[in-house]
Amino acid sequence: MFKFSFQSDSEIRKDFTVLSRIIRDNKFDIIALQEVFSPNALGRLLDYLGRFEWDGVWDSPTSFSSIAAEGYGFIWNKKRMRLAVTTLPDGTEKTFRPHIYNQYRVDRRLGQTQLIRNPYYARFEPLDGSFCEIRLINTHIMFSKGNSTNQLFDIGAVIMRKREFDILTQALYNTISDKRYGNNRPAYTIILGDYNLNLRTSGAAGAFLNEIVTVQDKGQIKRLITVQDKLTTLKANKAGSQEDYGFSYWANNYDHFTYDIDRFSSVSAVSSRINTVKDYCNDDYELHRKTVSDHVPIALKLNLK
Amino acid sequence: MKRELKGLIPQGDEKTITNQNVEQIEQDKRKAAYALNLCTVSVSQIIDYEDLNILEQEYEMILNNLNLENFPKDEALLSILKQLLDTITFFRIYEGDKQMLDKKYQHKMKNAIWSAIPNFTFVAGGNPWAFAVSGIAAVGMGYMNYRKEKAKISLEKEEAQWQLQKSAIEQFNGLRRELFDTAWRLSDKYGFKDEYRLTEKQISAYNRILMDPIPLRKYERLKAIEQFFYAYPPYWYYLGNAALDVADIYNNSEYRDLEAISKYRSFAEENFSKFLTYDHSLLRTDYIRSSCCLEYAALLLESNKKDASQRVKDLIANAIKCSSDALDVLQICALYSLRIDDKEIAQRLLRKLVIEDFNTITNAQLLSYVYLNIAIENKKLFDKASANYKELIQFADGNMLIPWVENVDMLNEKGVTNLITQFLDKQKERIQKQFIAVVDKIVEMHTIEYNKQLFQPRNDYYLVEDSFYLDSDESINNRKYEYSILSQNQTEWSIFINNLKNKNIALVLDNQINKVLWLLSLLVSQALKRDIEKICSVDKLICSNNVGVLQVISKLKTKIDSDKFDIDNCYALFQCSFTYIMSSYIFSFKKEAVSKIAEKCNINELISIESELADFCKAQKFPSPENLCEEESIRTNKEIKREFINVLDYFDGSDDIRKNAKTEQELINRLDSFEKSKKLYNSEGAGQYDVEFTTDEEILVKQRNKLSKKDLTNITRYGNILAYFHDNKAWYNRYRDLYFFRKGLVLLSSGAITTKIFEYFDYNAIGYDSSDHLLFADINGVKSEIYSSDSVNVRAIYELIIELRKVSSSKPTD
Repeated sequence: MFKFSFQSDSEIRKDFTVLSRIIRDNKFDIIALQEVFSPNALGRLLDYLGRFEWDGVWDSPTSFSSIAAEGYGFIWNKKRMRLAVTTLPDGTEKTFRPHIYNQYRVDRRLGQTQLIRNPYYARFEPLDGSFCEIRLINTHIMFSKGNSTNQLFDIGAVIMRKREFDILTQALYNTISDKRYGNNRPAYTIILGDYNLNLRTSGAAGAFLNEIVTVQDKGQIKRLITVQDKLTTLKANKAGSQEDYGFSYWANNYDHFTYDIDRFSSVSAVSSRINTVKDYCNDDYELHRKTVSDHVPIALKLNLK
Repeated sequence: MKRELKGLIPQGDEKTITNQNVEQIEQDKRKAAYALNLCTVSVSQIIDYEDLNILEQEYEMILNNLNLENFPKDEALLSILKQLLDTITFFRIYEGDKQMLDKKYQHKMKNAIWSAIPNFTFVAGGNPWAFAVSGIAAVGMGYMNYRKEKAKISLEKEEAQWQLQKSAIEQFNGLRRELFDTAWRLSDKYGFKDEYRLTEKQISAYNRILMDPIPLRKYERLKAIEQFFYAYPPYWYYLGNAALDVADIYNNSEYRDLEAISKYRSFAEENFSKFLTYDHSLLRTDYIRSSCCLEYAALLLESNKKDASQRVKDLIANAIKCSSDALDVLQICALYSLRIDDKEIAQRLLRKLVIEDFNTITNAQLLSYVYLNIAIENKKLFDKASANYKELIQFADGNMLIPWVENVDMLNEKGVTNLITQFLDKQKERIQKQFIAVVDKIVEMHTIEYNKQLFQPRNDYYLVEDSFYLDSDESINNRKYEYSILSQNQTEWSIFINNLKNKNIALVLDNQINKVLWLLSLLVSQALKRDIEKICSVDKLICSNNVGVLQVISKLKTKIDSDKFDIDNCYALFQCSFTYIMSSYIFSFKKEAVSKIAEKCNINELISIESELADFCKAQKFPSPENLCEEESIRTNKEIKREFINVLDYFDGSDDIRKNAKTEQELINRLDSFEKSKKLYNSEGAGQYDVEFTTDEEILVKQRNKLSKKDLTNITRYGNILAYFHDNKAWYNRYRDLYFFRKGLVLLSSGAITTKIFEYFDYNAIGYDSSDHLLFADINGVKSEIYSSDSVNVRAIYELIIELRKVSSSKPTD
């Protein structure tokens, strides 16, 4: 899962060579991207990776403001995964089209509202023989309503983010994970993306979310766990020199995966952070911010055997 | 409205359909239903048994074995089958595990064969093979056998590894539902009655019943659900099989009820023939059909009916045809053929089994005996039989077979009895050798233990091989050398003496001797079915020789206790080695055991001893008896590699080159064993986090490439990188990298803080501070810190460095 952004075709500042190297070196099967402002950017990346092997989709949720306007992307390795396919009774095959997920019920009694930025939903099937399906909910929780720079003290923004996270887990997750399409495959649903919230065990300063969330679902209680507690965002300005003792370029632990503990009990899911600052930019975090992204990628490895 | 009928039922207009035989159409519909049921039952069995071996079997025997020509041709069905095969492949067990299971089955079959077959003797006329087939039939084919075993309540630990993972079960459930959906649709399309199609519930009930360990109950439960299985012929086979089991129980119990036995046997016969009539050829290699034929054959053989022979022959031929090269089927067919004295077929099959390495030894022995019998019966066939025998020797070890006569004239009772005695003697010799090798191994193992406890070499940091602790002349000399050096250092020597005091020689000796005796008694009770006292009385241990030795030891012990122990006393102690003490007892023990083996005159008993030996070795985690015998011979004749040409001599400084190469190799060996021993990680503490020690070429190259150019030039000055150690430390500390070279190591330390540290330290200059868990370098009296950590076992690294230091500075030995 990776986050990269740029504004327009003419302002291409990101280094696609490095990006494609990162993807190839780490042998990702599916990559979920946030803050992709134009489908052309995704297209460029696919060109660098090689369209014979990789495919991708892009979409953008309807935005309420220019701050919210950005897009999501999915890229996957065509040799290992494909979009889910349903076979209709008359034999024709229908491929699932990833789309922005708008149709979910909110429970106003619990204070839920529609998300400010709706997530991107896709279903994938592995091509290695296992008979299952992976459903990904790609989300980028809204950072704050206004142009506030003071992140730690804007309590209103943090509350808003937490509420968004609640809606994702309480309203959205179950609707998606329980939904049956006509193919009998057991489904594994994961929420992933930039939550703009930290796990307590990460050592970050504030804006915490709960590691385990319980959700009521038609009488059953489900528990969703959020993983990946390493710091993944890079500092913005020189809040100290790289030469000082104790300087670290890590800022926050904003990027996570969330999934149902019990559903995934038979599957091993290991999350990790890939330190692309060290591996590809020789520890130069400013270079990384400029050419790659202000986040580092996180990976979730699923083992179905 | 014309119905679109594809697949089995030929297309045509109304006229042709009505002209067709209605019965034929019904048959075809039933076939289609059977095909679907076959797949659905197979998948259900995978889910219900939750076992990887069943997965494997179903894959091989049913799902990947479908005769698609006879299958309903439906796109959806074929695609779901394909998906099913893909998913099974995803979860299959590895080849190695499968082979282990095969070996286990073969072992069981071998035992069954040898307990059934009578002794090899000279038989002039008549059938030498009048053995009971029930034992073999009870083992049956691998496919059925595994399920029977599972039905018995077995709580072996090995079962856990065959457990099908929960994620796999989920996926198979999904697939099963898909299959059922498809089947449901197809029943509509082909127009067969819905009753033909087995539902999930029926199949689950059926599977549960099949797992029932009580045969009579199984039979009755199966009988009760008869009406659902109209379009699933294997049901009849299982019903017959259950009936046969019931008959067996009556046969083997105290209260033999002859009426019940014959009643159930006739039920079995009835159901078997029903299966054979209704079965269609939907599988390419039809295991169930073969199994049915063979069990039917066994039934007829047991019942001793008059015209059974011909019928049995037909059944065997049928089984062979259906099985198409499944070796376990052929094994049973070979034995049944022998039973009905059909030597032709038996010969052919046994030879095939020998070539395909299935129970090779047993089958080769049987085959050699068959050839002999053929020659005895008809002297004209002697040449042919000889030719066959000579071919056989090429496939199997000649020592294991019945030896061959030299000419026709020796084919009389005297000659053959001679042969057979020769054969038995050869087997006895072989087994005796194995037995001796096992006993030697036991003694050797305990010698090493005994010496290890008492004689630690100087510096207990030293890692030594077990051969240091043997009692051979070479090892004793090694130890003498070590300790002579040790004795020159007063403190080390007193540590050594204290160690001896604490360990208390008397106690250790007592322990080890008892351990050896215990193992030996276990060995003889399992292999020879005798008590150790009957073989060689334990009192012999304390014979006159030994009493003398024990007195010497006790005198030395007093010296140890009074701190008057010197190097000469030490040498004396070495001379009173464990092996020496045990030697006379072991000698008589071996002699007795060997003669006991020689007394056996029955091939079956010898085979059983051999098999018990193998089991014993397996249980004690020794190598197999054959390997132990080989090890002996290897030790006595070491193969010396020829050096063809010495290129190094043409270069200057060739001695150094050689020396360096040898040293480096030795260093790499030490580093490797250090890595494998995992001493690096503390028992408490984080251990595995962000700490790495590797000698892996790939990783080393990767690390090299990550270095900056300046570092790289500096590092390459010191030679080849042999190993790499990395400690990531916390984010606010420098990480530490240690690169190991031939003569020293390089410390590379950097991090988010400032100056990189890059320094080279010679091994000789490194020291260890145990209070701070700190490695430091002592250069000209100035101590500078290299590396310290609380969670990594720094002492282990220091020990490694000492080893490396010794290797790199020592003179190379040839």
